[in-house]
Formats: sequence, C-alpha cells, structure tokens
Amino acid sequence: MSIQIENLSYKYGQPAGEKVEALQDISCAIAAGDFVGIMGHTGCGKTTLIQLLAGLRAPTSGRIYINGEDINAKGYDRNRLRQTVGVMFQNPEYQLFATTVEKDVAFGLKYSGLRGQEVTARVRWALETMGFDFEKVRNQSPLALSGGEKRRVAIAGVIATRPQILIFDEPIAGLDPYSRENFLQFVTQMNQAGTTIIMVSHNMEALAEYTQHLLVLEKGRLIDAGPTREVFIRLKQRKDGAFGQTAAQKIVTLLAERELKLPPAVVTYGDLLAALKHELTGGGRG
Amino acid sequence: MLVTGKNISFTYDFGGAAFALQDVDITIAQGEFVAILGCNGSGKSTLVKHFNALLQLQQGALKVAQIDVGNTEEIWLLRRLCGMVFQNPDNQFVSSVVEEDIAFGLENYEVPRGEFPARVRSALALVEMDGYEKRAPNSLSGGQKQRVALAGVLALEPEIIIFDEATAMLDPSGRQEVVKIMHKLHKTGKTIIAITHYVEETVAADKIILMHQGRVLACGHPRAILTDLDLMKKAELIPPLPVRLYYDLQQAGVNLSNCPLTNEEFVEAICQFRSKT
Repeated sequence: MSIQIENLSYKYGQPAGEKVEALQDISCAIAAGDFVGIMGHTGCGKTTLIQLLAGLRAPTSGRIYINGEDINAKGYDRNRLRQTVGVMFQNPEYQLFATTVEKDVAFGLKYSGLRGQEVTARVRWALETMGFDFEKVRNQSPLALSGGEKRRVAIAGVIATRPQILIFDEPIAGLDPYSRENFLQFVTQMNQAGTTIIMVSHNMEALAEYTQHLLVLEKGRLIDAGPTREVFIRLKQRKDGAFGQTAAQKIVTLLAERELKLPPAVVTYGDLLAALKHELTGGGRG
Repeated sequence: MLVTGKNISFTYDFGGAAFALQDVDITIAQGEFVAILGCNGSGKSTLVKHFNALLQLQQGALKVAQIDVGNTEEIWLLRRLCGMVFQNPDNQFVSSVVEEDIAFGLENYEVPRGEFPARVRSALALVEMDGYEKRAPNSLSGGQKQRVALAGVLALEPEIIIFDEATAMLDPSGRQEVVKIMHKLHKTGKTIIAITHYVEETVAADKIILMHQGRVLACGHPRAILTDLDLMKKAELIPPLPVRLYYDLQQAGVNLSNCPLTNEEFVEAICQFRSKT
C-alpha cells in the first residue's frame, strides 16, 4: 500500500477565532513496504499528520492518496480505510477497557468476519507475538498488568486485525530495553512480510537502526526527508543542533574535538564500533 | 534514614500467587539521588507508590520521613512530604492556567490564599519557568509541561520528589530539561528518587536500586551496577553505550584501561589508548 501526500495543510480553529497552522504544505511519498520514521519536537505536527493519514481528520487543503485513491474524496469507502490502516496512538494503555485481556484484544476483530476459533487463534497469535504466554494472560484483567504489559496488550489489539499499513505514535516510550528491541524486531518482521510501517518516535537509536526512510517535521513543515542515514548525517551538520543525534553521533562529535576524526557516515552503534575497531587496531593508520 | 523498608511484599492479584513485590528491603538517606532501574513489571512503580501511600502496605514495614506509611492519620503530611511526577505530561493537569494548576495542591492543603502568588512564583523559578503563570498548559512543550507538573509538587515544599518515568514521553531536549532540574533540586538538598528506562540518566545517581520480578536484585553505586554485564543481563537491561563499547572493543583486542560510564569518560579512555600505542 503506497501513500502519496500532496500539499497537505491543516489548521486548528482556536476558541478566539484565529487558526493555528499545524501542518503546512507537506508533500511526500511513502512506497508500499517501506519503514518510515517521523521525527520532530513536541508540537511539530506529527500526531496531526498521523490523524490525517488515518482519516480521522480532513485536511484544510491538499490530498492524501492511498494506493492511488484520494481518501477524502466523496464516495471513498471509509470502512476500507479502517481495515487498511491500523493506528496505535500514544498511551494506548489508557484505552484498555474489557474485563479480560483476551476480550480486549478480540474487540477489534468484531467486524472482521472472523468467528469463534478463528478469533481465538488470531488473539493468541497477537498476544504471543507481543511476548505473552496466552494461557496465562487471557483471563487476567488488563488493568492489573504493569504499564509496559498494558502497552503490549494494546499493540496486540491493533495488530490482531492485520492492517496493511501500520502507524505507531511513540510506541516504545516507557518500554524497557528488551521490550523495546522485541517490539522493533517484531515491527521489522511485519515490515518484511509486506506491511508498510510508519513510526513516530523520539528515540534516535530506534529511528536510526530500524527505519529505511525518515521524515523530519519542524513547526508543521517537512524540513527533511530521505533515506534514514542520509537524513541523520544532514541533521548533524545543522549548526543549531536543534535535532536529536544518535548516541553514536554524539561520541563521534566528542572524539572529533580530541582530534580523532571518524567518517561522517557513523550513525548507529554498529557503525561506531566498526569505525573504532578500524581506527584502533591498525586499519586506520599508516 | 529518610526511607526504611523491611520485607515489603505486595500483590495486585488477591486470589493468585503473583507478587508484584516480594520481600523488598530498602533504605534511602536524606539528600540521596536514587535511581530505580528494572524492566517493565519488575515492581519499580509499585514500590515507589508505597512511599506516599498511593498503595497500601500489605506486608512488611515502611517508614518515610519518620512517618509510618500505614498510619492513616498522617497520610496528608506524608503525601506533602513525598511528591510525585508521573509519566504522561498531559494527564497531570487540572486547570487551563499554569498558576491555577500549581495552586491546586496548595488549595487542598489549605495554605492561606495570600501565600499562593509567592509560592507559585518560587516554584516556577525552581523549574526555570518564570513568567509562565498565565500560560495554558496545552500551549507548552512536553518538557515544559513536566516542569509545571513538578512545580505543582514543589509548591508544597516536599522533602522527597519521586519521578516515575517522568522523562519517558519527552523528546531529547525535553528529557534534558527535566534531568537538569532533577540534579539542580538534588543540589539544594532534596531527596530524589527517579525511575527511568534511560540508563544514561542513572549514571550520575548516588545509588541504583536494581529490581527484577518484584525483588531487589542489587543495590549500589552506578559504576558497580551498570558495568556488571551478568547482572544487567539478569535484570533484562542493556548497559549504557560506553559500557557496551568497552566490552565489544575488548573482544576485538582493544583493551581500554577501565570501563567508562559516560561518553566523556569513554572519549578520555580512547585518547589514552591512542597515546599509549
């Protein structure tokens, strides 16, 4: 499922009558099967963009095409959009409501056409994919789980419907490192199986290690877009340092101040380790 | 000791045998900066929610600032002395104006109204947000929102401030703002208890309490805890980047003189290594 965004703008109306421009003239394309990261400070318009992609808001101007179809055109089948695009918003743990974990995850499957055993099998798959022991957790109250566990139950509820485009708004905030890695590896597997992934995150390492392309928003404008590594290299060159660098890039900067210059393409942990090995075991000298 | 806990056990699951905390002993000294580390479900939040009696003690004994947490008559005093900032900046606000939000706690504690403006002003000054009194919380950045939430706590003049993953939802600059304020408050003598999943935020703590499956797995100086690969693995955590680099480089035959904890220490160790070879 490809996505085409053309001259997209969105203004929020304020009580006083004035308008706040949350998104300004954004154009970009996301290819089917891509894994795209969205980076930007709080309030830059990331969440508004996601809401527009999911059809939860209509743009003030501009168009969004999913597989060539304008999702805001008259007569466009909204139901199809809901089945195509799965969205997990921030703090999904607050959205849990059913009396058991199993019922909560199964809720989204109500209108999927699946019945009985098929629903159970799908719920089992979703919960096991998120690292749960299905039999142990199925009858527990979702409210009795820890914060991170609730998050994983909520994700299970989104993936249970197997949408072709999956959008995650800050999915790993508050997860511990192992859960973070498990989640990102799981998303990568979904991606490799053909699902288009869009992930908003403040975690620079996650964006650098896992996404293929990056969109950078600043005050409602798309200020950079491209292959992830190239975008990180460009952001590092910005003088104001307004955007996050990866931990590896920060170490490269500190080393450069001490006269050890590593290649500018060092972005991830693996890059840094390889460059240091090369430099310190003789490869980089002479 | 400001916090002394013995054999604390807790379950959310009455009927069942699943313990969220099991036989936890804990001591925290006045003025200490304590980081609590552990994977999701390890019992971190459950433990700290005992400190101000958000959760009732089921088993064991716990004293915080000389108050027995089971003593319901002193619960208000306990909650004033032991303030808490939570994870999500957006659902800690009760008012649409910053100063009213900060004053909410003061109203509850029946602080004389005449004292409000001065208390609000000095709380905002502590979190470096002077002049934001009339702003709407929803017009602030994530880091600013957390600092307003913290100002609401500080207005009550607490002894202990607990940050329960208060940086988890923030962008890198917002995180930096909050961490900076934590250390500033620590310097003024406040006792800081910080729960976080960002290991790099714990390296400057006086002490780390490492939790796993409801138990205290280890307690000690960040250097001792964070550089112990086996221990970190047992706790299902990943050590800070400089520590990982140190061990991965060692495997490649690059032996740095000692295991660095911060980026600065790592760079120093690399420079030393280069000057020797």
